[in-house]
Amino acid sequence: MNDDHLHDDLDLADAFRSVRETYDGTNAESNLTLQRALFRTRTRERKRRVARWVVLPAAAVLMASTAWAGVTGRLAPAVQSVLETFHSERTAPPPPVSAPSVATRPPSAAETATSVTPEVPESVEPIVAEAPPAEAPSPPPAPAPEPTPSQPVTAARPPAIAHGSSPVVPSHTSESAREPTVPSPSASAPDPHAALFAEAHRLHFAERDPARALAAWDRYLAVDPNGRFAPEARYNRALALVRLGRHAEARSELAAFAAGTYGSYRRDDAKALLAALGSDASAP
Amino acid sequence: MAHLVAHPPDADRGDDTPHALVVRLQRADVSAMTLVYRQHHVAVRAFAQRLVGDIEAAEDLVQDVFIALPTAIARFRGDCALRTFLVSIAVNQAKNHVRAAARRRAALARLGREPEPASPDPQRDLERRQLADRLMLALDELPLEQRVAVVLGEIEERTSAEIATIVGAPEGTVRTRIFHAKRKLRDIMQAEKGGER
Repeated sequence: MNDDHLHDDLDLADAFRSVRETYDGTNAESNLTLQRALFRTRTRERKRRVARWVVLPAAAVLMASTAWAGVTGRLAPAVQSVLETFHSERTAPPPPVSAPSVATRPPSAAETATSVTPEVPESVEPIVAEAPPAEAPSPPPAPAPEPTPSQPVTAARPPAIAHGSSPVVPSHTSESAREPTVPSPSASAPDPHAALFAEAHRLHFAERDPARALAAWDRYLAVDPNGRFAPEARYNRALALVRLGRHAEARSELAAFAAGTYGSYRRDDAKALLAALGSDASAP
Repeated sequence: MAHLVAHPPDADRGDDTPHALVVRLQRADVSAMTLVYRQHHVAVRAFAQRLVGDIEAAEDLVQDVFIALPTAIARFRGDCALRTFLVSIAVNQAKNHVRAAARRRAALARLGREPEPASPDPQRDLERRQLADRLMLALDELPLEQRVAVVLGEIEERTSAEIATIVGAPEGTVRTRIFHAKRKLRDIMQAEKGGER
């Protein structure tokens, strides 16, 4: 039995030796192995370097800018605008091919000259950020009834305009054709002065009381002169001044919009209003 | 004893691993990697071949060792020779290669194919290769830890302390693994011999 065990050990030792001698670590292709290893290592290092110097900084910048936007309250409006853009792209119906929309038709000289029912734009959509308004997306305009020369002045119209003493004001820009909407600050970043804005908006568009609306716009602008809705407030204030017949003050407010102080926001409307106010020689 | 001439265990302890070389390896510096490869590839390949028992799979393992080196070198503290450290990387990378080689070996054994000997002494080479193949088939029956221990201890004739450093286990554990591995190998080879009779 011991002899068998010893014999087995010798066999095992022989086997170990045979493996040792068979596999001595030589290989004619060792240089190829080195080349492959170096190539794979270089490729991996290149990827790592790209990740370190391009991807990580880009991610850091994105995170930092997102955090900055979140802290300064610009993130929610940006997200909102992106969502609105995507939503409008997905849900916008194809444009009608027949009967060009009155809302987008440019004012004709005849219409301006006849000035049958001048109407101050009813609604001003609040922009969502202090960035140039040209970049702020807005929802697609709702279809507006076409104003006709024979259309009577509605009872809800402010007295100054209803009595025909106001100047000619174009009413067919796309933005002025929108339904009045009360801004909903909760939909975007919270605005501490949103209540003041909402109150002014209500007085202007719901109660149609230009005098109280003007005071309310002034209150809002006094506490938040550079706020998110300040441009809309200024434009609405100008409209209120027009309705009250204070055309000189209205002109000075509208001039800023026409000059592009707020980018393209209300620039064309303001120019049209200024032109209409200018045609009224009796304006104060 | 050809392996001792090629890479004697004592020579490992004489490896110089300057900090600059380690830093260059961490940066995957091509010249540093080439230098290390030239110095140690025979020893690493010998271990890979003896562990895996397959020339091609061993070559893949060697390649993986040197690809992993720039990352793995961060763990190198200089408390062992760089060659020993490279072998420890090979141990860590060996699992899949051993499994693949074992599958291939089993398939060859089922088909009864033998690799062609290319040697000035074909008869002796054939006998030696057959014995090596029998041992490899028997090693395929062992758990990887025991296989590594027996290859390092019995085939490469490394000390228990060195094996313990390579595999990261206590010396006593290493000796136990070798003991159980040899017993199993003995049983397997004896059973094979009985089957042949």
